[in-house]
Amino acid sequence: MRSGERINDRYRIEQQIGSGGMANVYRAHDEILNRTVAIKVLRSEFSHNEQFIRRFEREAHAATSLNHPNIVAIYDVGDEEDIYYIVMEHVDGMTLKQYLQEEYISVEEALRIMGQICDAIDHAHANRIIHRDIKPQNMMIDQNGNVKVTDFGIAVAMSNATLTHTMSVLGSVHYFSPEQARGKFADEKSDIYSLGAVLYELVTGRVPFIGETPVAVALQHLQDDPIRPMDLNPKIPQALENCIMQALAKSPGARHTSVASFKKDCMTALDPARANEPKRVNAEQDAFDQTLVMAPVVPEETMPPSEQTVKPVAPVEPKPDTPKKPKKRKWWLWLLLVLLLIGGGIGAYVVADEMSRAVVPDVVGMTEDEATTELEASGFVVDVTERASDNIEAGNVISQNPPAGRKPKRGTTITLVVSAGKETVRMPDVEGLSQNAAERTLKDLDFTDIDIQKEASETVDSGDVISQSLSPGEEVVPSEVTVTLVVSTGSNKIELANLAGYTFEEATTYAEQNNLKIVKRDEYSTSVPSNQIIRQLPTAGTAVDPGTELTVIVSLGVEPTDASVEREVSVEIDPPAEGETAEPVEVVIRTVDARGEIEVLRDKITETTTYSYTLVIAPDEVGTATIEVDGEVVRTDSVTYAQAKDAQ
Amino acid sequence: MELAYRTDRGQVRTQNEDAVLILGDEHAGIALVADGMGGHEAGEVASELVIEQFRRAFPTLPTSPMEMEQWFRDNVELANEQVLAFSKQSNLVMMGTTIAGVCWHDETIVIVHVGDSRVYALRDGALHQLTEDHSYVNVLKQLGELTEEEMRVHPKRNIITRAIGSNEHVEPDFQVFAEPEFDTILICTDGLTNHLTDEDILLVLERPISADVKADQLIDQANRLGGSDNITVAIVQFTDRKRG
Repeated sequence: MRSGERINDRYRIEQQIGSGGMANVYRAHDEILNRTVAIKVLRSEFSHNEQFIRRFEREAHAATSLNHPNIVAIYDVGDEEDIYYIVMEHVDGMTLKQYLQEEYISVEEALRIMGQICDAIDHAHANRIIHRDIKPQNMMIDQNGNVKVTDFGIAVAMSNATLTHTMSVLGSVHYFSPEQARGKFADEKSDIYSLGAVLYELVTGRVPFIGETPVAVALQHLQDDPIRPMDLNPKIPQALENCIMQALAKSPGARHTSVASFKKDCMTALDPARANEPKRVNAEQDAFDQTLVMAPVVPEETMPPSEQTVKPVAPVEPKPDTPKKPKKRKWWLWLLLVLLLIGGGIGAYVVADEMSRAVVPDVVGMTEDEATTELEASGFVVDVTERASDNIEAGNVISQNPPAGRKPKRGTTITLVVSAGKETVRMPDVEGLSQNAAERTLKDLDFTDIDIQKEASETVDSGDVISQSLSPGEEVVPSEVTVTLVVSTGSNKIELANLAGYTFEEATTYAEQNNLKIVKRDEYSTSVPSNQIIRQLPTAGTAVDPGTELTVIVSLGVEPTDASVEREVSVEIDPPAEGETAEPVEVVIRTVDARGEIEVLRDKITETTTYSYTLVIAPDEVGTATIEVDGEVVRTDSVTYAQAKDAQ
Repeated sequence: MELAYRTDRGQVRTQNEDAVLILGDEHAGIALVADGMGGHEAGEVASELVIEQFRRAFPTLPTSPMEMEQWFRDNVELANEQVLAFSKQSNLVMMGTTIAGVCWHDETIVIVHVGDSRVYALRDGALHQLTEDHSYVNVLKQLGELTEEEMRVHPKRNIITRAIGSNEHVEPDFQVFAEPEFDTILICTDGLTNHLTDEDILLVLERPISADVKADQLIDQANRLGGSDNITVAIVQFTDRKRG
């Protein structure tokens, strides 16, 4: 795209501001709303893969549901003549990665940045969207230090882009979790691991694992413990190191239970009360390591809680395992003491002030009307926001702020969060997706009752969804509906394989598997060994309906042939006595063989004569010749097939 | 000797980014497959550039084992330069290709590969995979971090650790065999091995049928099992050695 070019007659490209493997990012001007936007444009070499594009769009649409000050807003998703684009909020700043390269960041600033990132991810998780690709390159920071996270869910679209395979797709190995390295599906815990890795980099200036290749880095995520953050930056308090190490635990179960708890853990890390926290030992470390660490640690010049903490903190005691609670109380005692010493004037003010205050009643669980009446009776102003809830009936109060028991001034606004009933979602369009992808999409949105029906289709590939029972865009409560997906079993027609060379048994199995009737026809063959398929009808590649007859011509091996053998017989006649003339005798030779019964010869002779005749014998048969002289059988000549063969 | 090859788009992809080449006779020859990547046109061009390089270089195939390996190395390097140059000129950042192939001269066989395309040999009724995939999942498997089964379903199983066209320098693996007494050599892209197990391949290669029909049957089977990627096979069948 060049500057000045227009997308959709609306967005005028100004300048390229980033580029990645799959897409380029441009700053552009939205001429309708007259504002600056960022446009991510899919690289043209990928704009021909429909499956990929559908995922790209779907994920982008999912992210449009997120609305949070720390998340880069998505305004529009569209395409125009093979240009696929996402229009996003333009953040005037740089990526956190660039920022880290330019700026030195104190622990305090790191936590301030981290808090915003946590809020963004927490909001996404509340909306059941897992980021899956948390990294400083995906975070924008503006001049005021506001952080915005981007590229929600795009990671999924990318990893499904079956058309690529190169290392750069592994891309963010520095921040991905062991389970992602193993190929397991990423969940909230994976995001927490990645947050830990980002925090590690924020406070130490380097990623947890450094390797020559992405694979080497991935392996370290699976096998190694990172260098302790405190070894890289001594200003990091123990509590913060512990928090990072817990987030980076190899086992998802050992990490923080939620982003909120991770956030709380890191945000309180500078709290003086946590100054003497013992070093965290990740459970998966071996026993040897543990015993080492569990041995009493002699603090190196007593851990500095933080540089910023000013004096009146109670002096840190050298004993490493001082219980933390008492110290907190001590801090408040000091404060109270100071207040008391300052004396009377303030005391009077406090009493006078008491008159204008009221205790906030507990209205959680009441209807909105009851709660409003009650609060207004105490002199408070009520502000209501609605939120979906699965447990609280619509119209009832889920929570209130300030909470019950506080004593703010009358006239204070009490914010009530009122249930809008069960959360509805827009029914996603899963037609054309694979059954797996469709079910995952639905399960991500908390649809539980998914009914799968199979149906043949000539147009939809096998395993893909043909239709869904609820139309896309319909507002539904996922837990209360049944979604019926009709999944294609592929074309009913079967494209016949080339069975030549299969044994008959293999061909029979093939026919059974493909629901075809097999018909066997035998044929002799000089080239195809016995019992193998010579050819087939219909021929390979023909598309046929199930139940069609598939005729296979099976080799019987080389055709055996009849054996013929020449035999001789000599009919002896005694010479006549002197002076007598010989009386002629009649000789008849008959054969019974492959040709049937044949009279081979009939002759009258007066002297010894030798005849020859042929026997033709079929395989496994016997041929017989009988020689009669004057009607009397004088000889029977039987020859077996084997004998005839041998004689040949 | 019988030579056969097939390349097929498969059942899912809209383009075929694979390319294949077989040249020669029983005295000397080469057989190669390449599996291109990087999206529309980039993949097709990458694999075709590599094949074209070897098509032109074939007349210079030397005769001694050492020289044959060097010849392979030089030409893979040249192919790498061409793919890199093209991807820079056209700004196709994800462009690249695998290669797997053999060249032979009399009784010597040299094998080369980069990426996850494979060379198999059939000898005395047993099938041997001669190449180790340069893939992310295979590295993890070799280190014991993934099982065979986990490897087959890993979402990043299509990621390779070496490719032609992804770096200034390419690092091919070579193997030289003197009188290896192979009955058949099969070279294939992952479109085949994503669907067929070694047993499936062995069953087809062992059949007493022509190399052409074997190639057909391998492609048919991969397509029947889903044909999720482009499928390419090249078969070198040493008929004189067959059936003793």
